[in-house]
Amino acid sequence: MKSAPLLILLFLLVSGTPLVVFAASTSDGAALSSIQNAFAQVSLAESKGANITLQVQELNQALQLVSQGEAIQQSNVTLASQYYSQAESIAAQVQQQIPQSIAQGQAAATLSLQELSAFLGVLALAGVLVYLFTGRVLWRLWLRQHRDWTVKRGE
Amino acid sequence: MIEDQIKGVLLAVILLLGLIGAAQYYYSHTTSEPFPELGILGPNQKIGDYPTNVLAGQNFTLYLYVGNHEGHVEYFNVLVKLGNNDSVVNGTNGMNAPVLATYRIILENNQTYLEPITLSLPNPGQNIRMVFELWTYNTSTNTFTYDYIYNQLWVNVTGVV
Repeated sequence: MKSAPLLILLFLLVSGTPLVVFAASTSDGAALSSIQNAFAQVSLAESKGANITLQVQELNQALQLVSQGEAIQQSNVTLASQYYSQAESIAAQVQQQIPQSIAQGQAAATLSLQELSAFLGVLALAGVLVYLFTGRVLWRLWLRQHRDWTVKRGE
Repeated sequence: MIEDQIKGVLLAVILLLGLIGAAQYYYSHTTSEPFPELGILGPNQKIGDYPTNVLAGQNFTLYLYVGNHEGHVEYFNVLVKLGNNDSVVNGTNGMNAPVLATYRIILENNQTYLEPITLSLPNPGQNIRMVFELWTYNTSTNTFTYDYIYNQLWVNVTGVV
């Protein structure tokens, strides 16, 4: 009798039947650990300028699933396990989105810096123009404003 | 001369605009005084009308408010613990008491959370100290650390006759 499992395993190996491994999460701890890892990545992405609004929403959804699982853990283990698995898959999905978010965030940060540089550049140019041409423009305007004036000999 | 005065005013305006633009850029990337918020509101979403007497095992509703002004995304845990007159809230580990419930929330900077929470106290007792502790996830240590921020409610729990 003891050799029965060994025989089954041997049979499976010889027959080439693939062993199916279910990776379903059965504990809230594993799901929470995945969420923590995903959060660390999200936090890193944010520090690199990424917009993380969507990822935060998704992780909160995963946390909600964990809470729902915990609430029914005693009464319905199977459903609770499904909730944990869903939470884990959301966390994994979030982690997959991170590189793209970082790339987008860095592009946005560069653009923002370029906009500031352009703004300051335009202001500097305006300063130079004001310095060089204020007098000329001012007196030209003054002349245009007073073009109908006539000059009379003083008494 | 009037020409120099006008030139001076225009250059000052340009300088001011440059400073405002640069300051706006700088301050949009920094938070001067980072802080989180924790609040427990009564059943009417106000600071008040808190339950003082509840029946053991009977549900009652409060509102949990959490705000993030830390300057970056945060992962918060709010632990609800049950203590008594002698319980002390420690600055490092919070109150050494059993955890009744845990609420987890991730908030972006300047984001707030306000949701109803339903609690139920299992055992009768007088002057039960219900403490809500705010814990923050630390990505460096991969652990939740206690911020020494808590709210508390004192309740009497009577047994069901």
